[in-house]
Amino acid sequence: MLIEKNTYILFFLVMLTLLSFFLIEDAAGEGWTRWASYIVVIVTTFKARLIILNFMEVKHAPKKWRLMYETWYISIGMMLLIAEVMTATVNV
Amino acid sequence: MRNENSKYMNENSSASGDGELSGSEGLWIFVFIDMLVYGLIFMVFLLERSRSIDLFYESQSYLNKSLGLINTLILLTSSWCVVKAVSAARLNDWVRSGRFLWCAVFLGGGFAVLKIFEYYQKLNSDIDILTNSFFLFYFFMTFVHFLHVIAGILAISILAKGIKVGSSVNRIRSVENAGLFWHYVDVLWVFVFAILYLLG
Repeated sequence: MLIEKNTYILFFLVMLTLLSFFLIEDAAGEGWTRWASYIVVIVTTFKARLIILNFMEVKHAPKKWRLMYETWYISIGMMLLIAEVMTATVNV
Repeated sequence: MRNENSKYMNENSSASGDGELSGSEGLWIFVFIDMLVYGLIFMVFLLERSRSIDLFYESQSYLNKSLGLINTLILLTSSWCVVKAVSAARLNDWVRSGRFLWCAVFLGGGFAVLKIFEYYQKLNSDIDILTNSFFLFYFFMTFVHFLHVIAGILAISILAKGIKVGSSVNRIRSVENAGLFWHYVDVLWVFVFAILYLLG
């Protein structure tokens, strides 16, 4: 039976979610917690992109809508990344 | 997954001439406004966190990460169910579409039950919205999201119940609208899970 693209995307989203979770769990108390946080921000933003473009079908939407929705998740991702970097700087 | 059935949407699509909107333009506007509001909430949370880093990280350790993980997996799967329901609706396979919608409702119900259990655990441990600023954000952000989930469950249930009633074009649009809103609820949770439970 042919597996649809969106089913692969679901598997991928599940894998990324588990990766984020175990990465943070594994990094807790270790020296690379900060790097784990950066990776989680990037992975989370990528997950949002997958859902917005494929499940919400934004990739088929008119350009203005695609621009608005893509700007949103990229902005949130950037905001999180900047917050994590600034937090690391304060801690140092 | 898009096919001939979605061509009707041209009338309702934006006039830009490129691409088609899945669902009603009004709902796309509503979802985008809601996205902006949540974006502001995230920003205020991060600003507040930068002022009380230790308090936020210590408070975060009281959250049940495993429940957050299970809820994320539940919502992702329910989102996929809605994708399948939209796909079936476009093929006029209403029985299959209805089944996937009920699956999404069932999974959404599972999310709600786990969330209520999580609130119960917190309140039982004398942690509430007034405990500190982290938990103020925790309860506010997750409860507003919880209300979105309940609204989504109600809308999808009503839709699934009357899936065989009305014109085909309207029914497809209704399923697409339900899908758009439910996926948005999913995307929100993806960020809420990372911000509240993981990052720190």
